[in-house]
This record gives sequence, C-alpha cells and structure tokens, in this order.
Amino acid sequence: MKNDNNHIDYARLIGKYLAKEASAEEITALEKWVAESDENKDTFNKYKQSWILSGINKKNKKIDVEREWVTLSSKLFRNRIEPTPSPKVKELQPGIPLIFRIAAAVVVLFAVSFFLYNFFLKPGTVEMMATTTIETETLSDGTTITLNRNSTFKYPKKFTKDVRKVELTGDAYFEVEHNKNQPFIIESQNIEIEVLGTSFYVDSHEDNSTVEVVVNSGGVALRSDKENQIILKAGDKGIFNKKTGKLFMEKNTDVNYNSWNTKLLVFDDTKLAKVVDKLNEVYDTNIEIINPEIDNYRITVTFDNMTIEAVINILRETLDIVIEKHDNGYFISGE
Amino acid sequence: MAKNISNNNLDKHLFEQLFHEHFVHLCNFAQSFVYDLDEAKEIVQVVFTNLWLKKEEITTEKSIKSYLYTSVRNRCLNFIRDHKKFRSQLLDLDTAGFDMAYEVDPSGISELENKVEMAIDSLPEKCAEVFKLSRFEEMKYKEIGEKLNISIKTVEAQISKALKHLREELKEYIIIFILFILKMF
Repeated sequence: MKNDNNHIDYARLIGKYLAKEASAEEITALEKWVAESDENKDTFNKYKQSWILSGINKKNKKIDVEREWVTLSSKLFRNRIEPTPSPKVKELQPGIPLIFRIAAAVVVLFAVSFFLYNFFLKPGTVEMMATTTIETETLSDGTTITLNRNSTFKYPKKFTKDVRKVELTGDAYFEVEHNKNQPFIIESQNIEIEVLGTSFYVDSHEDNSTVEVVVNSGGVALRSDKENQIILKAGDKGIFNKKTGKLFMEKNTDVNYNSWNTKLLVFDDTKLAKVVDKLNEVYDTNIEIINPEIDNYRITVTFDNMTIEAVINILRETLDIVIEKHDNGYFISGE
Repeated sequence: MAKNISNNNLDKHLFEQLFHEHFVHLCNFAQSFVYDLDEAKEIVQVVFTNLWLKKEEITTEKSIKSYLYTSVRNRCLNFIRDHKKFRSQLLDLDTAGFDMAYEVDPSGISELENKVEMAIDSLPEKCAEVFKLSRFEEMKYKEIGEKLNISIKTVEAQISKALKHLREELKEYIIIFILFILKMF
C-alpha cells in the first residue's frame, strides 16, 4: 500500500470501516483513497474479502437454527397440505365488470397467440433444447454446436443476412465454419460473442453471475457494448461479470472445461472429492463419498472417452477403495 | 455445468438438511454485508423459501451451496441499496461485485473453514484475542480496549495487523480482480 505520502494508515482505516468504527471523515478519506487507483480498490477488496471469509466459522449463539427451521417449515409445508386459493383474489373477482374480464381475456389470447407464433411458426427459426441429454446439431453453414444439458439454442434455418446471428442460454461448445464475409454472432444475456471461424466453449446460464468463454482455437471477440470488447485467442478465457458489466480476461487453467462434450478427463494430483464432482457433472450421475477421510485422496489419471463403469473400476483399483453401485449412482465407502 | 436443482433430488429431507447445515454460515455471510443480525436472518429465510418454491425452475451450474451463497449476497446488496443503509455507495456496493471463493468453488467450503480457523489461530496471541472480540463478539473498539486494558489505538493496530495477516493466509481464496487493459491489437 502506498500510504506514506500523507501519513494515513489505510489498513487501519479499512479495519475500522469493516468493524463499523470509522467516522464520517474517515469514510470520506477512505473513499477518496479507494477511488484514486485500481490498485487501491483491489487492496480494499482483498481486505473486505478477508473480513468476510474470517466470519464464516462464527459460532453465532444468537441464532436458534431449530426455531428458524420451525418458522420456515410451518410457512412452506402447511400451505402445501391445504392449497387454498388466495382469499384476496376471490373477493375481488365478482367486482370486476364483465367488459374488463372480456378485455382481459382478449389480451391474454393475443399474448398467447403471439407467443405461439414466435416459438413455433415464425418462419426459419429453430429452437433447440437440451434437457437431460447433450445434443449436437450442424447448422446450414456447416457450423457445429454441442449443447449441454439444461441449455437452449436458437438459430435460423438458413443464414440469409450479412451476419450469422444465433442465441444461446446455457452452455455449449461451438465449432464455427470460417466465413470472413459473414461473421458468426452469438447473443447471450446482454453480451455478444463474435467470431469468424474458430472453436470455443460458452457458459452462459441465467443463474450464473458471469458469462464465460473459453477459446480452443482461433480468435473470438467478446463484446458487452460498442465500446467494450476484449479479444480472446486460443487458451484464453473471457469473463463478463453481469452485475458490474465488466469484461475480464485470463488464461484458462481448467483442462476439463470441455469434458462434458469430449469425455476426456485429465486429473493431475487432484483430490478425489473434486474428481467425483467432475465425474458427476460429466456423466450426469450421482457418486457420493460416504467416508470423508477419502475426500483428500489424490489421483493422477486420464480417462479418455470411457464408460462410467470403466472409470469406477479404475478408481477402485488405483486407490484400493470400496465403491458400490446404487439406484442412480455409486457410494464410495472406504478401504 | 448445468444441473437442475430438482435433479439433485431436493426433497423435503435434503432441504431440511441443507437448512441445518448452512443456516448459521449463511447468516454470518449476510451479516458481513448488512451487519444487523435480524436482517441477515430474514434474508437467509427468504433465500431458502425461494429455493424450495422455485426448485423446479432454478438451475445452477455449480451446486446448491454456491447458489445459496450467491443469492444471499445478491439479496444483501439489494437490501443495502433499497434501504439506503449503505454508509458509502463506493465501499459498500460498488466494490462488492466480486464472487466469493465459495461461490466459485463450493466443493472447498469445508476446506475453507479449516483454513480460516487455522489462519485465525496462527495470529499472535494478543492480536487473535482482539480480532475475535471484534469479529465474533461484535464488541466496539472502546469496549475491547476497556476489557483488555489497552488503548483504542492499540486495538486499531491489532485489527489491521490481523487483517493483513488473514489477507496473506487466505490469498488463494480471494478472487483477484483482473485489471484488464486492452493491449492487444
């Protein structure tokens, strides 16, 4: 920290701010310092995160979890047993003149028709949904897309305009056919991903706080608006923070980012707990470690396009552990 | 990657288990933002209510745990904003756009808890004592000074020392802000 110039100890000030001890003047001074440079802002953030992290284990005697649970469960589960319609609605309905009810019905009818038209009849647009299985599609220009579970993709049957525009919600891997006269643009939650010809992975679920793009080959432009864009090359990962609207770039360090698609998994001295998480995601199964002592076992192994049964056998033999099959997954129990 | 919460078999039993396992942690987390314990509890209650009512709709590519933490954080920030409770727009809200380590990698929560405990235990004795009184007992600097018979300046110094130490010890869990400068092309 550069705090010697004016003899204010900013670590002390940040501490006071976080502990709610800072005076109005001190807050103003701290604000000024944080706004001064990105470096200061970064320092402040690190202290703030340390402060938040340090509170995670707090034994809060003032919280009675049992009582809180009773409050919540009585609210949630009593309603379930007696599903009574909301009384407010009941009282109001007879008071609404017939003409308004008809008008409302007409509006609803229009809205539904519009929706149906857009989704099913609008010429040339195809909506592809992957729910429980991974789907692959080749578009009219030769581009292939592999759509992961719980994802939706919309594309025109034919690309007739000067750009190839598609829409994605969820995550998918793209291999875009090269055509420098007709850029390929993916729209996803306020961000545009523009490419000429390349392969890359996009993770853009509505519930994520970020949109992430990992480039496998070629180049990709990630754009939040006209002024803000970053250019990504092979091996780069672009991140769009939806809350702050900021774009970041870093080197991709997750070798298994595309394993759901390729079924190629590489683990290098990785904790078993992490391996299991990844396997559950890639094979859409439910492997559980019952004995927590095993969580920290480490393993170095490559699984290349294997069945889950083969993977389980390798784990069993390499680590000398007991793995039992159950209805929809496996239990890892011990030595 | 995408995993519907309902696919994780979120039945009543698992829901209750999640509640018992995470309620206190989530309240601690919320309290780091909103300070007031009752508000923190209320926010966490709402997040659990939503999780149950919308379990069919919610999808998260991470896990339920990370969904819970992210939702609590977002609600806290909305709460601060809506109730004009922030002391400083810049320090309370604008700088809160980071993802916490447990949102990014929830598989490591128990590992993180151990690490935090170790980090606090590794503080010099006096420093740990002051920090715990402030962070866990929510004592004011003045009260800590009186209890330990030290000056407020010393309390300030011990807290900042503790924070520096924690920042160092926990650095792998602190998400670094990447200051992106468009150098290419």
